[in-house]
Amino acid sequence: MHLVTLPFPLLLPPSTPLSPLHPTFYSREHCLPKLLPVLISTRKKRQQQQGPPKSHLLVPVTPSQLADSCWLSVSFATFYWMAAEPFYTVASDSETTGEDKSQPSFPDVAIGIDIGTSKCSVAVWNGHHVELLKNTRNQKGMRSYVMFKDDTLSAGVTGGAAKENAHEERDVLSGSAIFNMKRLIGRMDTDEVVQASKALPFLVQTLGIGVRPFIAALVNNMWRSTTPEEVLAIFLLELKALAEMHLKHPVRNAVLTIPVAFSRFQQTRIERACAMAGLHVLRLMPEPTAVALLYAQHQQQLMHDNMGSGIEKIALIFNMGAGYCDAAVAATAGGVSQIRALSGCSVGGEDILQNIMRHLVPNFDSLYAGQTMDRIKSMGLLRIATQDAIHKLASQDSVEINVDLGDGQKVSKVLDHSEFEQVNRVIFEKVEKIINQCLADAKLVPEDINDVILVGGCSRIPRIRSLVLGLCKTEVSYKNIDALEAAVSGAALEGAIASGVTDPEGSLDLLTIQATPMNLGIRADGDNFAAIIPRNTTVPARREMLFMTTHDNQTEALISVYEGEGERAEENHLLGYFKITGIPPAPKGTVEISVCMDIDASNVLRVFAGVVKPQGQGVPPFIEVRMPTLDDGHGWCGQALAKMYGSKLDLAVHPKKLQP
Amino acid sequence: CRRRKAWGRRGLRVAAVAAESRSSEGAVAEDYYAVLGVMPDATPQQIKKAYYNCMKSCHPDLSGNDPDVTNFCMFINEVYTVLTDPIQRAVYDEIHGYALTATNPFLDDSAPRDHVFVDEFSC
Repeated sequence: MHLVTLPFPLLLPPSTPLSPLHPTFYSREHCLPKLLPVLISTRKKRQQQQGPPKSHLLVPVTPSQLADSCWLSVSFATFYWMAAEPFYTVASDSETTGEDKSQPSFPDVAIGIDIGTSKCSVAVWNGHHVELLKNTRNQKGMRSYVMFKDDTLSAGVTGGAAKENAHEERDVLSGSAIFNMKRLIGRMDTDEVVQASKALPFLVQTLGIGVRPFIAALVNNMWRSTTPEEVLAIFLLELKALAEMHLKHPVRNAVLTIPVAFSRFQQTRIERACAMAGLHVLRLMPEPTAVALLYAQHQQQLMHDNMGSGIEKIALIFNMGAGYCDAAVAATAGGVSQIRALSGCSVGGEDILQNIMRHLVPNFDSLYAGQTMDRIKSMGLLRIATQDAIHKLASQDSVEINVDLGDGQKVSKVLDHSEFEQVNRVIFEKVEKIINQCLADAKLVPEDINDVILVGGCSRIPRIRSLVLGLCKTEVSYKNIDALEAAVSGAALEGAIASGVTDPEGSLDLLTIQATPMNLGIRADGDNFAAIIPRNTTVPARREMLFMTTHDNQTEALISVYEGEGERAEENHLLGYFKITGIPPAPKGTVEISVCMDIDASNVLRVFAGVVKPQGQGVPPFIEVRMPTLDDGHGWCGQALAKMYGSKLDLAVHPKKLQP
Repeated sequence: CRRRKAWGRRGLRVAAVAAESRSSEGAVAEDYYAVLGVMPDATPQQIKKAYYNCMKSCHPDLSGNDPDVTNFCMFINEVYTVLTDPIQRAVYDEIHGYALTATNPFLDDSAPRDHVFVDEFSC
């Protein structure tokens, strides 16, 4: 008998025999393995006071039961690679409320997960230090993909179970695997990142109307549809199983790192995927801020009481992986890491790779239009050869690329640094822009920076290193940090801290003070964007702004909440909208409406809005809305609202009053 | 002179202040310097140090997700934003009578000495 996660809620139909009401439901006490006493003893009292956040189920099932009941009509057989002993997982269950009586008696320390575009890793605080977990193939960085094959699914965590059918990179590129989910998740088909993803060897179909792209993997010569959330959930499920096998107790909470450029809508998609995998997201941490926390710990260890002597260190953290590029400026003193500024964009190694592929094969787009088996295979060969060449260019002056793409197509070329840099000029310009923006936002000059920390796979590219170091006017980067492990280590530290773990040696005596990466505000003054919480505001934060009506006897006002950097509302991400109704009739400009936004430490955004002048019994109560409320469509709703109401429900920023 | 009584090491008693600021919104919460436990003529470094100390006791990461403490933490962030921006701080000082023309009570002999709060340099 085995236990497996209920991949709540999408992967199972409600009628599943895995329901807690089913006779196979077991009590938790019976199932729990021995626990790690170290972790329990270091937990703070408040954890006990809080009690379990949600009800959790432990459900034993057999693989065949699972296969029968699985909504995806595939078996999770590959999850049983550790089948020598039963393992236990919990499923977050918000529907069943009657099962709360079992108290979690396992140490509830959140694990740290870095879901990279290309590679993922997982780390835990083991009571003494952060430990990165390795899979059965002894890898700490596990390729991010999910392979769809016949009736089985397997993610890159295990990399195809047994040794004889271990996945190679060419299998991942065969069309049967979905990867780069972090680039696709929460994006609409008008997005240029989604458009660029059409050059991947699986099916990314777009209609260009602002809906989700259609994504499918090749299974038995058929395209089988899936979604980025589903793919990520399957991957996280394997990652969770790996962590549980190491820790020998169920894992429920996780701290995940995300790119700075992720919109709040994308963040909800990540949370959704986690919920499907039975993980509760304790914190979503922008990647460079996780690195900043690790840096703070280093500094804390180096100088014990720098708080007393007031020595503060300023670090610029630059992170560039396969999908995204981020920068942060953090001020560190006495174990406190304060994020001064964040900036980021969706540019990464994948773009460099595609630029080089298009450079090597000038007719790339026409050659690979329409994904036939031959073309997918050929594209896979080109990808591998190009990737290899880029890696080699990190340590040598030039590289020779020789690859037979089949069908009479051959590439034979010598690529050197100057050509590589020429082809990727636009990318380097974007990198320069985000570094400069980050420094400007932090109100610092390069001379203020004590350490430059370069992390992520692309930080190995010589041009990127020299560019970032040059902008910060320094010769060398900070040495004591592993470029590929820093983010996940920081996430594991945050996981332990936010779970209430303390360390007698003081190595968890740390705090990150986060900042918001993007402006948050509403549409006002016509189609303009009024930022209520400007970017790089320290969180938790609450800000309020006053608005006024724009028409005489206006009784309703529309509050459309946006996030982004654009001056016009429509250039930003629409997070949601609601109406204030029942406004007392009055001449325009005389009614004052307050819109207040707050962000708590878990990054939850709430918007409060209501009439503050006139006051009295005739005024409707305030409205509180948790954002984002939109589930899909982004720009569409904004356009539909504009078409339907024009400027009838508009507000204007209150001009005279000093904004509170 | 009423405000001088409020100068204490409140930064060390954040929980108490958090509860207090909720009940008596005006008296405590209004005095940005008192909330951080610094003097009105504190240097930016002193303000930062006080802020970090304060955050270490009230940040939800370290103190749990109690709504009162989170609210207080939001308030501290607002205080710090004002006091670290030279212009906003000058405006605040002007409004609250802490402008540069005001005198430091410890250096001013005419100020009454109650010996409750002492300057760290003079003891």
